[in-house]
Amino acid sequence: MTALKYVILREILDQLRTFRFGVMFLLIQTIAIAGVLLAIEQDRQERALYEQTRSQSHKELKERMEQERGKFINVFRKSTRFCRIPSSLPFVAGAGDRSLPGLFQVSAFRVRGPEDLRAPNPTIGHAEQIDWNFICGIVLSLAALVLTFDAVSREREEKTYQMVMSNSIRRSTVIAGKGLGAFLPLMATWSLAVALQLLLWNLLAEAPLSVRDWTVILFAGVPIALFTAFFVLLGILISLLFNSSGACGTVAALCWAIFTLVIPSAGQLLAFRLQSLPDPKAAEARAEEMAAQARNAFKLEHGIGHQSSSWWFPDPLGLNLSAQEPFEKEWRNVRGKWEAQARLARSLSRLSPVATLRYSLEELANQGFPGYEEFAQQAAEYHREIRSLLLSLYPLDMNELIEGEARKKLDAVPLTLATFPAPPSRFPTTGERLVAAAPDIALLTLFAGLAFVVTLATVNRQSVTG
Amino acid sequence: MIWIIARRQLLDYLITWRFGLVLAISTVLVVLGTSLQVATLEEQLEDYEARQHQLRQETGDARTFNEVRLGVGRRPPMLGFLCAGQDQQLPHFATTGILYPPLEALGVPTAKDRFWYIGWGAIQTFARQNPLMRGLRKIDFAFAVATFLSLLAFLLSFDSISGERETGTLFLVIANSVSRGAILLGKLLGGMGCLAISLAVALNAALIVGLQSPRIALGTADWIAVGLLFAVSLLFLSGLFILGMVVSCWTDRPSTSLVVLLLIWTVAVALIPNAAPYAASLLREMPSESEYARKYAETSQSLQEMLDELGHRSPPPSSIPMGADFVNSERISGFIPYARKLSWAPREAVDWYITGTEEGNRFLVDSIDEQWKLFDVRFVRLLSQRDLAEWLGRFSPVFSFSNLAERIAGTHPSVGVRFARQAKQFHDLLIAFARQEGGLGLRFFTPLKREDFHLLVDYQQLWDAGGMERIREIYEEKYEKTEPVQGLPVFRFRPEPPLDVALHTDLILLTLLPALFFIWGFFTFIHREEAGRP
Repeated sequence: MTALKYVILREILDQLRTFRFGVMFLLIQTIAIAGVLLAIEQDRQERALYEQTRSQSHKELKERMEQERGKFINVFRKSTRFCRIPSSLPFVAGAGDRSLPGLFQVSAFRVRGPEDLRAPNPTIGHAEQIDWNFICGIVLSLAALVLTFDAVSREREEKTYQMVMSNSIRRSTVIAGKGLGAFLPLMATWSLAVALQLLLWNLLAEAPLSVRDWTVILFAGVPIALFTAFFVLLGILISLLFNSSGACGTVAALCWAIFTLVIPSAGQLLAFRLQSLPDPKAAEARAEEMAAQARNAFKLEHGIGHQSSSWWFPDPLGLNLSAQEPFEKEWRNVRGKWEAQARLARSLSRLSPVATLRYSLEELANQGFPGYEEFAQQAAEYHREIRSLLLSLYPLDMNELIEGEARKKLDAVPLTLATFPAPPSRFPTTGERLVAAAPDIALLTLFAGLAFVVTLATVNRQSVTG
Repeated sequence: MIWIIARRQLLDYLITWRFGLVLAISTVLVVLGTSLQVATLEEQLEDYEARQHQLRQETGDARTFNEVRLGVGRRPPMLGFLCAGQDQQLPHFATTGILYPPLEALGVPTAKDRFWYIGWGAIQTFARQNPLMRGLRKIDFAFAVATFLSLLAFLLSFDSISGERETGTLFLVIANSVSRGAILLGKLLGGMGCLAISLAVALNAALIVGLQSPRIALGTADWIAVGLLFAVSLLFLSGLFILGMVVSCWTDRPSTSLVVLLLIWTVAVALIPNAAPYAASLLREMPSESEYARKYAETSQSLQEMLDELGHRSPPPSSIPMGADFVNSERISGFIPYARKLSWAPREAVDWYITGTEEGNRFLVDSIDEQWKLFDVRFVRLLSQRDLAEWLGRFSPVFSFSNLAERIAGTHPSVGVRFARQAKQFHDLLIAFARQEGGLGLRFFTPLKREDFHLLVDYQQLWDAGGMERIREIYEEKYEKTEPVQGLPVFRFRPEPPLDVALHTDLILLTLLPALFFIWGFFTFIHREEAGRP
């Protein structure tokens, strides 16, 4: 144990003196500070936009409720805008949120959307946000490889490796010392970057961090540590396998490019090829046809001879519900296919620890696709609540035409903002988030464990000269 | 001597496993990515052709100016599968008419799309794209060059000098009667040869995949653009290769030069191209989509109010029996002297409509100009975000390369801007034509001449003789004899002149950088003292 401590200490001191560590340290701190400053501005803009949209939607609903005529019809027929609440931790995994839609139009009949609150600029390509996913996935992983790719090969080149190994020190101790000697300074660098980010966030951001946010930040350290450990071990493994530092550097660079760029991109490409998408316009046309059939069937069944071309009025509620059902069904199908494709892309990309880290952080912070899924479920829930309120308050027969007295009866139904369902704003608890992130954290543990076992086996079986 | 060094260097590079591995990875990615880009391009071409066909069918026999609907379009660029750029997000087609400015050209969805399919919030969404997968990087030939082949350039050059310095062969080489400049130039030419081979392999792989599609056919201009793309890619990679050599000249150990180059690569490829657009989108904030929806609704509302006011100002002549069935249902509302389509009516009513429609169209044309301006301002703001992103991004040669590749392939947003501007000019031309042909008055709502309409007295007689059926019969006969609107202008998209592309800042930057790097590397190498290994 003393030997291990000694090796670690020596390795840490060696690392701290190197040019490459200095550059990586500065790069990580600079990117982290720039990232959080941009995230603060993004948070301000997104909160303002969310508040504006929400209050506008609330105002419109109130106006509809204050109408003298057609109040009931308008309240339930017209959509209410249901927006995604901005994340309180945009600097953790906010990139996922920025590229995803944040709005549904919800009424008693349909859930329309998803839409963008502020559409991405079509003249600019997709840009990654400088969040933890980016800093860890791209920079920290590179730093881990840069600090370790010649850990053994360089000593071999300088002939010091044979001398170290000829001492009465276990090989695994030397390798563990080298690994921890790179891992600990990296984690210290990362911790400092996080501390700076949190300091700036607390000083400058509008929304302070809640207890839940602090818990997320604390737990996020686990996947990040596992991820860093994987790349440190990968660097050492590469260094063990090749004699020349140049060759080690080349292999490390290629491995890094494969994990950060190739596998995530290839996963998404394959998902595009494997999971076909429906054409929304064709789905809409199909729904229109089915709605016309449903209308005719309803009219025949209930003997309604009225040939209104207008939607809702004065057709009976039952007719409108059956006419709108195909639209809801078709769009649910379209959205389901979109979600299935995104899920497949994520599953295929999980071969890379960079993608796995991203998904675990998104699960923990309830951002990106997991956050969207939760949001879409809440939109469906909101739709069901509005619908059940409509059905509970509806004073007429479902098959009765809304004309004359029936219309007056509808207008007389008391409707207030208090009785109307509030948009859901449920956040998953920390426990739920941990459970959701557990598979990805387990996968990262597997990656790190596998790298550890292979490295250990290599160092024990390999001759000292490589 | 230079050629001998170059040839030897080239052969050395070609037999290294790093060359083979990077080339294999980039080729596989290019093939996979290109197949997806080809599928998207095919969908775009299909949509474009379907819309043109549909429009031709719908408006082939427009007899009134109000019915005229013309398509303004630009064919999706054929080289989109080599460099997708932002073209997939930008409009290729817009419908325009007298009262319909081509708003789609500014990325505004059609009224139907807006209402039924995607709403305002998805203004730029190409219908078949998955909005949940927008974070996808567009993988194509340009992406492979910007990321993998740029990495290859560094991987080939990082030990070109420092490697030989470490093994001691550099001292032996320069001890011969070979000038240092010749060594440097020979190594550069050998590296460029190797990069040219890898570029050719990747480009050919992409072309083979692309040209399998029956919808994609390249013309002479496209082949010239392919050649230009190859040349620009080689220029970009050469710049990076020279930078690698410079770093290699400075350092004693190849591992140190590799670390430095990897850092440069991370900043140039991963950091700046991502941070620049992200920062630009935050620094130049855009209003929300609902804000534009509200403003649009306000302009539509004021338009309706203006028409109502017109109705109050110009009541119908007392002689006309209002409520009589002489107007098709396409009036805007009530007793407003503004007709969209008139098939039969007494001449007195027609006169009332001519005056009203002329007056109404005068302010309607101004009002739709306001609508255009509303979205044009939005478009300009989007472009100002893009400009800022470009200027911030130019700190990385990768951004400059991507920009230039998009310009050559015709997928740069500037093409979309040209399209929008030309679409508006075409709409102005259409209005001028309509004005000249009387299309804002009588011919706006009927193809018949004023004299073709019976005076009220005769009209009443026809009514008494055969009722509405008789009137309809007579007027339908007259209507059948009329001709569709002739001589309408035709839209032809004029792309960016090639000279503008050639003289672009990015090309100057990409040309200057290798030259500067080479001079820097040359002086470093010349002035550095080399020593043999003990």
